[in-house]
Amino acid sequence: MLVEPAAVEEEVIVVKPRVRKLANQFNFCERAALTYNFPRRSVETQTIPPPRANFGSTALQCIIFDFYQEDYARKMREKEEEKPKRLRKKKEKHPKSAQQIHDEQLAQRIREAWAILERLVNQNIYDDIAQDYRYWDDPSDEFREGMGSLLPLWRFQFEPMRSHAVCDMQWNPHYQDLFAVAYGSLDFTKQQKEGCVCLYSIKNPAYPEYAVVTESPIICIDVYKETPYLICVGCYDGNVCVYNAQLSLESSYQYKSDSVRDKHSNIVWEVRWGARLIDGEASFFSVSGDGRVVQWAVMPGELRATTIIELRAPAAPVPGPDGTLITVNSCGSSICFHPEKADIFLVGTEDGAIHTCSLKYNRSYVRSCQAHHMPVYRINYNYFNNSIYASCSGDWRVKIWEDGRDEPLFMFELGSPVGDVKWAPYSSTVFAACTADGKVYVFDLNVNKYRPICVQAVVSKKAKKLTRLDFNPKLPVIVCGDTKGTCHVLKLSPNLRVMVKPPKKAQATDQRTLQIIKLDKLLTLVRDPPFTPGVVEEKFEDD
Amino acid sequence: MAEEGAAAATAEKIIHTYPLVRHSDMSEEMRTEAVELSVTACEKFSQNNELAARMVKESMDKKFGPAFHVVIGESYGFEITYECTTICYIYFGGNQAICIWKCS
Repeated sequence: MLVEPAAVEEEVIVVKPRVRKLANQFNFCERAALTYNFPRRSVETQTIPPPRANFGSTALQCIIFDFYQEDYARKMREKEEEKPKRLRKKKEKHPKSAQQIHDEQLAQRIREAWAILERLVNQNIYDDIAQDYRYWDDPSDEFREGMGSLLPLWRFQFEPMRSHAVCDMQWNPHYQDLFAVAYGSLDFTKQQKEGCVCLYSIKNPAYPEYAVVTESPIICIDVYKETPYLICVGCYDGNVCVYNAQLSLESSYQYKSDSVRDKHSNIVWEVRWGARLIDGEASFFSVSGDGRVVQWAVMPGELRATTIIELRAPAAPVPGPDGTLITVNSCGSSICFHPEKADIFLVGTEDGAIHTCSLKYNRSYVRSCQAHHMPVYRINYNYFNNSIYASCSGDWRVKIWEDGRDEPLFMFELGSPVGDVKWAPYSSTVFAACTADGKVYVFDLNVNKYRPICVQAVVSKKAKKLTRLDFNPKLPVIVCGDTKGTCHVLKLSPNLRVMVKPPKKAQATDQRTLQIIKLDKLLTLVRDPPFTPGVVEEKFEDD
Repeated sequence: MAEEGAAAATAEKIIHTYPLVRHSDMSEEMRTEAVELSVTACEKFSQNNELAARMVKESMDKKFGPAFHVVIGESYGFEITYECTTICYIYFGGNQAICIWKCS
């Protein structure tokens, strides 16, 4: 709207009525506006150019060839170094000067002299016991038909292990006077912090020949028959180790399972050396509370684990979170290998079952039977008949089994948890058991099928329990361990080790055949007619 | 690595066929790629280094951005400027030298 400039100046306040003018081509004006123009300016930035470098070289056949040679030589060297790396490390660890070696040799000679002196002193002190061991046979045996007794001989104690229990023990298969003892604890509420492996000789009851304190209580032990200085042990913390009694004590174990990768997640209850592997490595088996049976191959420098079987509980799988089914493992508590068939073994579990397993099957059992009501503490094969084995359990019972039979051939109730049962190596019908109330029971099935031929209280019932026992393979002694760390060596009286007299017709028959015949004769009484509990009772009474 | 027929007398006569990195500042991933590429290329065009070089260059360009340069030959000398972390100087087959670099 255009207003005349004069009017605007003079009559600012007067508002004129707006007059709409007609727009035509004469009364037309253009409207336009100019905006402010910003001044131009150029801004720029430059990045730093990517860094460059120079490289120059000459490629010639000779250079290429030389470099290949060099690299090839290096590769070959690396390959060679790869293997003995671990061995070399060990060597470097103990660099010994000539003086040190000399000192050590001197110390070794002094030690030997001391050992002889110690033997001399011991021989004097324990002379009466040694005499008893050699010559004293209970004269009353002659008058007590079919009854025997045990003569307590030495007692072995290792002072630092006073509060520990003897968890396992085994006579050395090579040296008759030597036995290995595992110190641990069976009181799981007051578990000990450490354990100990000891080797005692009956020539020196005062102090072990070899003692090595371990980080964890030792629960089980087994001495390798082929090389009797190798001892495998199972620990409370689930590890297994192999100790070499020939090595110095500082090196302690020679092999140990890897705590992270493949150890058991529960107590290792029993370890047993097995047959050599195809490649010639020694191997042993361990059974643990986590329900696994693991084979350990003793490789140079390490143990390699293979899970043989996972023991499944008879219970149905438990529903876990988010709908998965978790199979319940049953806890293995003992293992025993068939004396002849190297791939057959028996596993006792904490719920009382005995499973016959084979190394060839890792999922199912060959046989399985509910043998006991409480944990099976020990299974032991007869030395003369490979189909007969004994088992003992926390349900106070010792049972004698035959392979392939669901019912036991014999059953004995001992009135207290039975820690161990072992067949005698010298007789096919004799076995011994030790109980938690401190008694050792010796049975001779040939003499008495119902009662033990010897019951002897070895330790007082209140303070101690007997845990394990073992027959000496050659000498007429047994050793049994208690919960206060003492090992008792007992001599079997003549009635407990009667041999079979060869019949007049065949005087030349050797003792072993006679023993087998004796057991077979006994077994026919039980086996035939087919075993049913009632029938057997009658059968026994007929005898 | 295979031994030649008359290798018994001179144990030195071993023909190496594997690629050997002589000099490289590439990243691990890039280097393996480059080595693999040059191996394939040299095997594919064993008679024609030019084609092999072209193949390597084009593949490298595609994968890691343009302006790669590749030289393949049995005997040559070079003095080059390259962008850092992009050079790879490889020997291959016992008689070939391959130089790969990038510079734009």
